[in-house]
Amino acid sequence: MSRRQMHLGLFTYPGGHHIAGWRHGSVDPRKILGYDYYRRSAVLAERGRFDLIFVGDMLAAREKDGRVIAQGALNNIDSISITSALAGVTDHVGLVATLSTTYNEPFAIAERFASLDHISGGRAGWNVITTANDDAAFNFSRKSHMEKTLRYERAKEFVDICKGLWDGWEEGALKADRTSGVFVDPAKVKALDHQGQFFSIRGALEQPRPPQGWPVLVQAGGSPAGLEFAATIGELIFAAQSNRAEAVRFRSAVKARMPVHGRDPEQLKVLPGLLPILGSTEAEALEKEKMLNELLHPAVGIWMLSEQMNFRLYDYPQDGPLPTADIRVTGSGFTPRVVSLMERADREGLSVRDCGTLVAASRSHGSFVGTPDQLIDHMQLWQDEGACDGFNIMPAYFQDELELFVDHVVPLLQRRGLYRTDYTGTTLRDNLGLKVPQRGQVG
Amino acid sequence: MHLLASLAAHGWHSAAWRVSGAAGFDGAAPFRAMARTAERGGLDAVLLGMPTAPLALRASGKVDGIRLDPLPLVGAMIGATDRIGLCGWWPGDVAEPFHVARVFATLDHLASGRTGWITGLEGPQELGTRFRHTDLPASAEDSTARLVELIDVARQLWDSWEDGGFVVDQSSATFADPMRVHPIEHAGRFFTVRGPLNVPRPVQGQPVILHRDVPSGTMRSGAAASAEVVLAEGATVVEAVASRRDWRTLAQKHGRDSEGLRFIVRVMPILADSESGALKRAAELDGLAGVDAQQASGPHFVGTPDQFADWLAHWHGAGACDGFDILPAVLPVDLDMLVEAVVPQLRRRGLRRAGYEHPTLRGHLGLRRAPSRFAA
Repeated sequence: MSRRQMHLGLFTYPGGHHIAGWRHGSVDPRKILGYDYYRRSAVLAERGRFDLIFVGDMLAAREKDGRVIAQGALNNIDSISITSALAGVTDHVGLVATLSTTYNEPFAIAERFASLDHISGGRAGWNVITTANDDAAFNFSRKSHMEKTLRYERAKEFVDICKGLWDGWEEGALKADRTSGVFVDPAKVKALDHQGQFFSIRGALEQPRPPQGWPVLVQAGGSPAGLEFAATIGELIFAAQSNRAEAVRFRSAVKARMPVHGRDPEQLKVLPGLLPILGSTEAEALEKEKMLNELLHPAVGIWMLSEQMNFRLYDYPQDGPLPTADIRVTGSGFTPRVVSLMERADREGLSVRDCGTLVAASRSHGSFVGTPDQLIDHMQLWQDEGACDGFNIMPAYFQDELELFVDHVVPLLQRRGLYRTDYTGTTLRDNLGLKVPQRGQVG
Repeated sequence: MHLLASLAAHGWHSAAWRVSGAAGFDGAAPFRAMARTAERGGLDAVLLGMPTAPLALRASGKVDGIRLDPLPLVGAMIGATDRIGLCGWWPGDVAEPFHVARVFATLDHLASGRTGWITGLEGPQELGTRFRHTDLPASAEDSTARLVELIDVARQLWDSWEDGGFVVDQSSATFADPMRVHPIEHAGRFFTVRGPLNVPRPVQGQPVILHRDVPSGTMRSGAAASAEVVLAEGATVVEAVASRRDWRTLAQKHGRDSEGLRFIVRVMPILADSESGALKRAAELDGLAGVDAQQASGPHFVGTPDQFADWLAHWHGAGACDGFDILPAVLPVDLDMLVEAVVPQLRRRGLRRAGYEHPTLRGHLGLRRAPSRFAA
């Protein structure tokens, strides 16, 4: 009996996903910006038959009162640079880069992802974000960050333009006929003529249609607007639910909305983030978690949480209760993750420091501490209950934790028939089981 | 003598695609192979993404008009090479300084200090109607002023992390030194940017700034504030000598050392073992290109590798330039010949070093790595 196959992404990060991961003795933190750091992860990801490598994006430095935070780990560095550099050392793994529709131009972005898809032989994915960080506005000559509803309207129009541009070269446009001297048949290159709320563009890309038609469109927002956007354009969702029941609800809610937009719910994969901390025994894994949390500077969790709530927690006693009443009044932009953390704080009486540690330890995605056997039970349960189609793996620190996962978890998943033993196709769409979009296709 | 090579899928002659390698389109593969060849020849850098023909000609379908985005192309060269500089074309017309600074800082980290930003303006002809909704300057003067400010802000952002800002001290949990990472608080005519950048200072301090030549006057005067390499389309030795002198004088007026500016002449060679063979190749290519697809860029050179070495030595010796950007007419043949036959000849004459002597592009070009302007 063939079981529903799990898909795996690898979320890269400078240092590691545990916010104190960069302090682990196995990490050389001076090397976390170099090519070799990413190359080693990519090689491991292919050894583990991962579907994709995922790189995030931020457009402002993390800061407090005008200064960067001393203990704050770095944001991702530019994702297109990383993924294009990895295209040459990998053969199978998908390469998902993140770029914002709020702070970019559609023509330039369509061009960039078409090129990444060509360069990688059809392995590109675009994580479409609208940028949640208000501070980005101040780096882009804007007085304020665009309001959320407008951001999603702009994102929708932006993606529609990109699809139109990717579809511009018809089948057979490229002739390369040396005898007649016709390189491209201009009649088969259709210029997009777009006039909308945000953009006015006429033109065609100077590249053939990408090998995958369109790069795989990835989406990562969990808010109601984000969910609707995902149902409209998303083919892969990098989800943030750390609670199984919520994850089941989220996945079925998005799938239920897809037909409204003329889309087939099968053409969507949901991969929640998962930060595993592994040990050969449960005690060993717990010990590792404890050691990592001890490396965590308390200031880190508190600024992370302040950032996520748009609320200054610095002014409250660290050992006092999380001031949820005040936060609800003056904080803003709460994601579902923040809401559930506040509920939990009220229920369990968590302190500011506790909450900071919780957020910082997992970067507020799901985490799991235990043995490889326990982890795959957990993964299988999520998969069987319809909470996900796989996971976006967030190693606590690179490369040792990734290597543990590849060598000790992947073989167990394969033995249970939950995961491929080899790549099944050459493109990211092939591996994810997503169709190549027809030209002009809706959604 | 500095030597750079501009890469293109088939070559810089508009008929190159009709005679070279595979006829069609093969993504980044030909670029990887050519970058390795250039590295074998010890060239200072490869230049990626500059258009081989104007938009109207590219759109005619008669030339290889396919253009990959230069930035992923630069990224794709990082793993294929170890020493050679990697420069990418990112025109300033619609670019945002934070994006430029972030991308090139990242590339410079990934490539261990081998990157350069080729900038300039594409102009309304090239931009066409792709950005109709944007509020771009209407006049050439204002476009130039915007570009000058764009480069200035990008450089400020690279400086926003002092070298000591990226502490990453595991024992004290100090990732960055907040007193050595600076908001730039730039408020100019075209850009308002707070900073700091969210990428630590590039390996080279700042990636090398390459600037396409611009006419003497306001445009050149503005560009001379930051250009470290000028890519010139000099027609004659006399003109190039004058241009080079002008650029150096203008750079000095900005308080710069004129030795911090490399004037590079772009030239398209068509090479063969015999002069008659080279002439035959040139005639064939021109015949295939036809009148409406004739190449209109800079000086051509047709001849043997030895003759080409003479030509390069003559221009260089006359003070016309600090080196050359080679635009191989047909790739990979003209690049192969450059590396196999021209470079050894230049080495024998003491005009080229035997191999790489430095790890960074700045090192190859003999350009200084300046400290951050924010450093105390």
